Amino acid sequence: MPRLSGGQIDRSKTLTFTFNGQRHFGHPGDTLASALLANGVRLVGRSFKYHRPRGIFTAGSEEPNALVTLGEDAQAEPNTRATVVELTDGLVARSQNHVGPLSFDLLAVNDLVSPLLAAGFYYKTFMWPRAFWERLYEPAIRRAAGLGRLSMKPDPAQYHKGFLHCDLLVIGGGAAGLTAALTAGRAGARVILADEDFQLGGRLLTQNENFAGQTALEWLEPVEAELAGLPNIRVLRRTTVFGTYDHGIFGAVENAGTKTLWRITAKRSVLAAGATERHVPFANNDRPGVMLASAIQAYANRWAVSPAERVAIFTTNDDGHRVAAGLLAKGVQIAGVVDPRKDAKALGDYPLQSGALVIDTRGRRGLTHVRTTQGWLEAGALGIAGGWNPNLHLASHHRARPRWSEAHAAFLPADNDLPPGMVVAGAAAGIGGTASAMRSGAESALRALIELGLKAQMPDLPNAEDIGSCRQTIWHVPGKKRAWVDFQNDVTVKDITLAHQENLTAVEHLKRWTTLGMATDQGKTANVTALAIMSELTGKGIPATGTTIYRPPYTPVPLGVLGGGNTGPHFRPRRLTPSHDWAQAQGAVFVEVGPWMRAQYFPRPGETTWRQTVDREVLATRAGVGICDVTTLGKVDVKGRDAGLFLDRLYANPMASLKVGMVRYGLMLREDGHVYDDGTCARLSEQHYVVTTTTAQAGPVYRHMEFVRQCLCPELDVHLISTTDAWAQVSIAGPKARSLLERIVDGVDLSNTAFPFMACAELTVAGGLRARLFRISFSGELAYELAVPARFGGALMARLMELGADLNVTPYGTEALGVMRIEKGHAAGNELNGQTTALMLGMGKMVSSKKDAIGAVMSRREVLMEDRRRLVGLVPVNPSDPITAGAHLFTKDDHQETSTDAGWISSACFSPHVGSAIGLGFLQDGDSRMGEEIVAANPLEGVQTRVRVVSAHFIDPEGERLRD
Amino acid sequence: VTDLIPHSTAPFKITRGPVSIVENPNIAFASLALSRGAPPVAPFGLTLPEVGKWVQQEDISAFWMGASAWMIAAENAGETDFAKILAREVPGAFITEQTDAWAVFDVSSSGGATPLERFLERLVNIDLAAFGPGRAVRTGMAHLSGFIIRKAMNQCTILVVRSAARSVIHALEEALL
Repeated sequence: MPRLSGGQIDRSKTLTFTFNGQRHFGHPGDTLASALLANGVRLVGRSFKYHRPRGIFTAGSEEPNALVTLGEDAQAEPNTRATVVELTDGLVARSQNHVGPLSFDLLAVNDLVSPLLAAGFYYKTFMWPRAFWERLYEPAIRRAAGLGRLSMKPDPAQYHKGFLHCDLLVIGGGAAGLTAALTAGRAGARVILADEDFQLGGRLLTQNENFAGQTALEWLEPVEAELAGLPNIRVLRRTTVFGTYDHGIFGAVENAGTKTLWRITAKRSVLAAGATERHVPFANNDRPGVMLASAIQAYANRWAVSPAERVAIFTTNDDGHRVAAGLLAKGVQIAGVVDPRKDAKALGDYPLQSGALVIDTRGRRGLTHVRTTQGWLEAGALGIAGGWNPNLHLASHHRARPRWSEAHAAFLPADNDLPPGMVVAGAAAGIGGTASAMRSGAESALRALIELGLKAQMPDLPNAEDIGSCRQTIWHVPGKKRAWVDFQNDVTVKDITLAHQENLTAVEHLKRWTTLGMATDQGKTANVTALAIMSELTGKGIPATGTTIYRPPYTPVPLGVLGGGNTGPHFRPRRLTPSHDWAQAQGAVFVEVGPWMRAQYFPRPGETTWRQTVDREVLATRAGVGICDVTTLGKVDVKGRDAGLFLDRLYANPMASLKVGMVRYGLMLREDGHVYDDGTCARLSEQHYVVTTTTAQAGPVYRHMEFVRQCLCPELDVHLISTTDAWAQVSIAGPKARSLLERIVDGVDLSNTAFPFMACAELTVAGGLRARLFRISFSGELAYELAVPARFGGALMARLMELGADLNVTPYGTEALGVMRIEKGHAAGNELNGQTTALMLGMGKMVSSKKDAIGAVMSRREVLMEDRRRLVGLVPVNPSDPITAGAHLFTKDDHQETSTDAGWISSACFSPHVGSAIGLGFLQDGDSRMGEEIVAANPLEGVQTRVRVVSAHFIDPEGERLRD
Repeated sequence: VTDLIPHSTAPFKITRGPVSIVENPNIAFASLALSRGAPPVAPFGLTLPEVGKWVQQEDISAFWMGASAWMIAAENAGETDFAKILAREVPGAFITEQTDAWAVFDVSSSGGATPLERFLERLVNIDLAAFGPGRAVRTGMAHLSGFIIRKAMNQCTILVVRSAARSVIHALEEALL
């Protein structure tokens, strides 16, 4: 039918859009739903289970039926509610959940066999054969039932995220929200007003109310202008506050072309989210054309469209009569108003059936007739006005249970258990009249402002009316046919009755068993009705039946929005080593190590496998000299009068006694006595130490050190500063390491006597560049670590390569580094996995008994002292067999089960030095089982490998090389 | 003087609308910490700022980093051994070289405070109303740790760990509308 008069659409402009490929027209100001109705489209989708024809049911975000897919191909966004989509030129929308055309859905056959498809049918039906469930039944059911489908392609949309702070967050821009924002804004408070709609006003836009002397819209205009002019107010249209979180934090999504995820921190909040009208289930109440009465009112007043030329109303209160009178004034024919109240009075010149109920409908793809207890009415649309449910969701996200108010016949927010700082106003608090809603909004803001110590005044409010509404609460019209409660999930009154028969009477059980209140609308038009029906069946009453738990999000939030645009290479930040570009130029292959990208190995032409490269790097280093960027190891400068004392408490072994110019290996324990981390500790001067940590634990260990400093030992005079990024550090390892180093260090005697194993110094290199040198070894070779300011890292690597060309200097990556440390039997992350102790690592003596340190006492617990697993080396009995990290160790011939588990393999690699695979592992009584043959079992893959227990030091067990 | 050539790429620069971001590779940093009970110091005549504050005097500036600890910055000194210079200036204090630890981005708005704040609110969770000129804060951004200094209503400087500079640049671009 043609557009009605009035409305807030810009008729001077025409927008073109398509629905299921068909071209349609609308105007700026339309939603997709209003434009579809204006184009005579009533059938917009198929129901979840029975594939029944469905039409637009609401005019807001509570919509259960009109779910469409917007956009095409990778851009497609399924399950979008047509009722909240702002119409734009060129918009492409498609209906969902049908096979074949929407008007002839092949799966509508489901509706014919509906008696077989009652709630929970699949739990009872598809029992055998068992294997069919996963392969046949479940996929078939999933194909037949459902909502929209994902494109399965990467989402090309751009998403943003951000953080906002305010004194007062006002959620909802209707009558109550506007007065709240105005009151707070005029008082100078920092206000954020968020509304999911693209226009402020809420129900003021749809009710066509007249205040004394002006229309609601005339009142709205200067208010909006004032809000826009106040610099302390931020109005966020198209923004849904979807969740209330702890500490005054709210999640919101702004949909302004691109979507932005806002995290809003508010000192106070006013929830003015309005209310959702209730429907009353009766037989065949799901045909396109059956709608909420308030939705028909909204379409007529705001969008100048009526879903049909002839409309009937089924109302349990005066609101339905006001809708009828309003439609009549717009020239829509009223077929009749059906009201169960015997004393109901018409508010206009329309047929009234008082003391009547709607008991059935007719119309295959859209409503044509309504059957009442007093006869048939011819109508293309039926509006149902069954009362109101306050939108209290955001007041219950912290698990508060709403309270039932008999006076309102509705659940209201739990006054005494609201999220801290929140006040609920207007219809969301059950205060539905326009005048009282406006007053409650302003008063709520005043309350919040007083708590914040801000002075404010009640604004002048328009002389709006509070129209009272007598009502008769009816939860459903009894009958034998199916009457839908939850349109989105195809849950009927019969299903609820069945749930009652099956003793699934608790609301949470009712929800899971029938799927009521699930999916995109989360039962906004269904839940309260369903639990009221259940309470009728159980006779327990509504308060005792209660609601299910309210959880975020209030309306669906695309996962891409939550990701905030961090996808692909930007999924997480990457840290690059100072020599990254240099390594890249050498053709290095990189590997992620925590947040770092490290060179894994440096392939050379002709090398076809990574193993060839790694073996070469290992052998070249052990025979000559290799260099490796080890910047990623955590570095923390510890300075202060009490630096030594602090480190003594931090490390299990003593550090205060360390001589200036020397380095010591250090072991940190957790409070519970297990090993936390290891590393080196160098003393550069009396009051200056440099601690290194493992790469993986650099952040956590630094945090732990700060915790110890600030909380456990606040009396110590010590400062910590992370210098991981400030210094590039290069390991120079191999028998020719000293020869190479001597070529770059400025005039320092590096001889074994002048600069022995575990010495350290501050010096200069390459003609005056400040540097730190540590003679420490991870590889077991004569080795040094040289640190220079980070920006010189790449140049240092290049210079070392140049100076060592005749020494055959070889760059090596993390893979060769790992092989060499396993060959040397050095523990690393795999061995320090949080379950091991100093004793297990063979370092029991490092836990000093002469001083106290974190974890020292707990490490002497009986249960840890009695643990007899010890670090050992392992080689395969058959040298060509592999060794697998993670395999479990068993004594030969033992039956393999948990009780006979004798340990595990923590690290494994191929050792070019040994000529076979080798491993490190923790073995029961390992230190006394050298030479024994045991079994490494990998039960997941059915692999059994015979291995021999050997020393964990595969090379140079006496440590002569590194002291050379 | 060393003949090693420090790694450098062209400093990052971007302007979108009224907001410009320019990388500043030529600023030197050193942290300064005092022993408990040590008398106050004034390196280069600068009065060290209170908690959460930043001060500047010509090319030298300082912001508060922790109890008795500050970061001292020197413009146009990226290539110098600034830690050594500072140590001479404040004998007895604990000085730690920080120049290469940070990638530094100067952000300015030609349209006053609002465009700068619209940028910052997409980057950091800071209550900008309480973050006026002269404030400095350590905060997380783009899953990394860094400092933000509000130098003027329309100017701020962002410090982020240098190793993650390329990821940070992406985050900065994302935050520009």
